[in-house]
Amino acid sequence: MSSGTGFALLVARDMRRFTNAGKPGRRWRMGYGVAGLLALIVLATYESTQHTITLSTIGPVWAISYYIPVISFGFAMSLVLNEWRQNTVGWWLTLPLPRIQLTLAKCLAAVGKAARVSLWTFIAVTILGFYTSFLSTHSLDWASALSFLVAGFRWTLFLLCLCPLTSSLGIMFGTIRQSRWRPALPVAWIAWGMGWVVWSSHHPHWHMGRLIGLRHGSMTAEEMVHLVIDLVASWILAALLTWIAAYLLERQTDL
Amino acid sequence: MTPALQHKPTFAVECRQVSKRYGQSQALHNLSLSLPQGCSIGILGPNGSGKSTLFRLLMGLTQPDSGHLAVLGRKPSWQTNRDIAYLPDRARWYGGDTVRDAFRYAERLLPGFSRDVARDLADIMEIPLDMKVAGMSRGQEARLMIMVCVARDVPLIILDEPFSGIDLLSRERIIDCLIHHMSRREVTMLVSTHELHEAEPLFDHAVFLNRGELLLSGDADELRAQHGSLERMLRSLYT
Repeated sequence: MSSGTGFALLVARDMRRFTNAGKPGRRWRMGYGVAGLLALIVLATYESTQHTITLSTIGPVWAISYYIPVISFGFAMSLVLNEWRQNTVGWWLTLPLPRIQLTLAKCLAAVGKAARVSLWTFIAVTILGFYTSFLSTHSLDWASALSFLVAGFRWTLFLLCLCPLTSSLGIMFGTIRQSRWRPALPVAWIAWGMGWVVWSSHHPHWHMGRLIGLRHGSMTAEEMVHLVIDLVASWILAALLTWIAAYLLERQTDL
Repeated sequence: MTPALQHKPTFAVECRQVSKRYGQSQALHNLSLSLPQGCSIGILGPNGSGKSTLFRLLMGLTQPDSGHLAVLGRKPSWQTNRDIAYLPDRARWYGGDTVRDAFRYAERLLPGFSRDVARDLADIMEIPLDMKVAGMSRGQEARLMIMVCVARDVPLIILDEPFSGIDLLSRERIIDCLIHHMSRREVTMLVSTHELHEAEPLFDHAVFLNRGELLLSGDADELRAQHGSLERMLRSLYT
């Protein structure tokens, strides 16, 4: 057995894993999906006949992807908590791998799941954008189309770069909840919320409009450097949070 | 806790004055025992006697509050888990897996796992390889989990309540399989169970715990000679 292939298998299995407990059945979910899609098509069709919609004016529609870091947090937390809910935690925590590999595998799996959702969101927004623009103007301006896609790609990539941090937070909150540190959970939430508010108020270059190069103008080179530094810092913080989660599983969790 | 015992292991498990408390509940209290290698050992006692806690300590799932603990001569950790096949108490297998997926998982992640042995066991236990865990009965799932443990060529197997919630026929089938498997290999097996009536033929050695303390430990044949059976002895010890 190689620990590398075992680690890769853990990531792949967690990426594939879906939890159906407490959720509606497959037919119901498909029904909701089709209904949502129909509603979107009807809305897009209506709007495109009532207004002039071009790809250059609907760039902010990419904001819909804001939920991606949030769901990566949820994916990560549920990957941890499901080990307890499904009574598989005994298998998971007795694997002959260091705890840091166990938490890292879950973190990467959550990022992978978020990347998959991002891809589907990107495809859906692209199709919907092209559809409404074509219906409204009866033509496609290829320069606007390219600019629309680049803006979406930049925004989606930025959000995906945040996912290691949000996923590691999900892993950490999930393990805190199962550890002897559970009473500290509200404090951790408050600390995180306050930290985020303070931090984001000092980082104006994290504005969506500037990130995707629409309306507020493109980012300057200096802002771009700051952004890269911030993202690298967020990955370092993600590594630290993953390590804390591993420590909690190793030393502060009683089964 | 002090560092691991450094000498060459003569015992599969050694505990010296091990204590573990969960909140107000004392799970183990100054437990000292040595379990020999190469035999099948019943860890017996009523609920709350500390059997599962002992196993969790051996697997590094939790840490002792005090005392020395060694498994296969080393301090329990993820490294020692390479040499231990462990079936956790009340465990379930991953619902989305088929039996084949479970074997693939075990082959990649659990050292010593033999897919060929596992397939033979699946034949004996009548579990189809394409069967999904989500569609299994409790007994079938228990058989799968035992297969994952027993198909590993490791020096120590720990089975925590492997028969709980399983019907009599499945229990007997599993026990026959374990006896057959044990007779072919030099392995130490620790089994905790309340189904002593069926499981008794498994054991070469028995350990009786009560409220986290050792009541009695000894060779199963000698204990049977003195008391008739381990089951009868269990009744007399705890009533």
